[in-house]
Amino acid sequence: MRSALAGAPDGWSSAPPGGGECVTGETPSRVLPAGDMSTAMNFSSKSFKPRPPDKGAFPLDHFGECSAFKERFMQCLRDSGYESGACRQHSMAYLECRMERQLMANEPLEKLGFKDLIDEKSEAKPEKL
Amino acid sequence: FCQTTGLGGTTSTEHRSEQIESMEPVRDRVIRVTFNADVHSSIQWNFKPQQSEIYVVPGETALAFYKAKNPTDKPIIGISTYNVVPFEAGQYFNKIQCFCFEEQRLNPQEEVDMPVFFYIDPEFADDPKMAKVDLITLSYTFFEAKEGQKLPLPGYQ
Repeated sequence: MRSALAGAPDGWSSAPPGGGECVTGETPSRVLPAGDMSTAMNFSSKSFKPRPPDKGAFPLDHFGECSAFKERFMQCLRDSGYESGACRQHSMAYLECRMERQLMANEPLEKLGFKDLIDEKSEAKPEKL
Repeated sequence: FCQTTGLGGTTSTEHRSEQIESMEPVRDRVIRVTFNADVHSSIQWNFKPQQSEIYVVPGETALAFYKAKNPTDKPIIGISTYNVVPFEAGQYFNKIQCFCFEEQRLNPQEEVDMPVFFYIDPEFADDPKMAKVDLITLSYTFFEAKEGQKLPLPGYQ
């Protein structure tokens, strides 16, 4: 899968060091050292084990290209009493913005949990393939 | 790298993709997810969640935002880890994509949005130990990533 991070906008003076996107399987130049993980987080014998995200890290949106989509999403949250389910159209739009601008690896929206919203869209437009 | 050193490598990630596509929301289990942000004393970033809470249900993907700013006059590279409480709920908390475990560089005065895209596994609703859990707290902590410095962070296995 093409690294979304490689699409860093022109004009940015230097590439981030060690910014290998997890998605491509490249090894970042610097990652967290492996080691005993129980100490920092809690004192119980069972310790929380953080897991890496499935699709790695989002590249930073240094130029705020998707800020407007984020703002609309945040406004929706405020209007709905912070109900995530009420703002899924907005979260989908935000992620689509990222994908369009190489700030996220392209992924079918169904695989991001938006199948029902896609199905609604295609039902509304039966002639659209 | 993240995927191959995560849980069982690529295969489990593919399974999770399929799970995400087919999972159904469990509408009668509303969970309040609250957000904490911390910075280790080593890093001069301002870092905070953009929402203090959201209400989600298992089986439905959710988006949330943090925000980070470098108020200094030098670039700073940060790296973050996260924690979920209650501990037992953490196994059901699946991050599809976020900003953790990789270096993130902020230039002087730069401010960025940091999204977290996640879902709570629908099996959460079938676990009797989770029956009384209706609050999950997600905490991220940023550390400064300096060359040669050993970070006091857990590795992930």
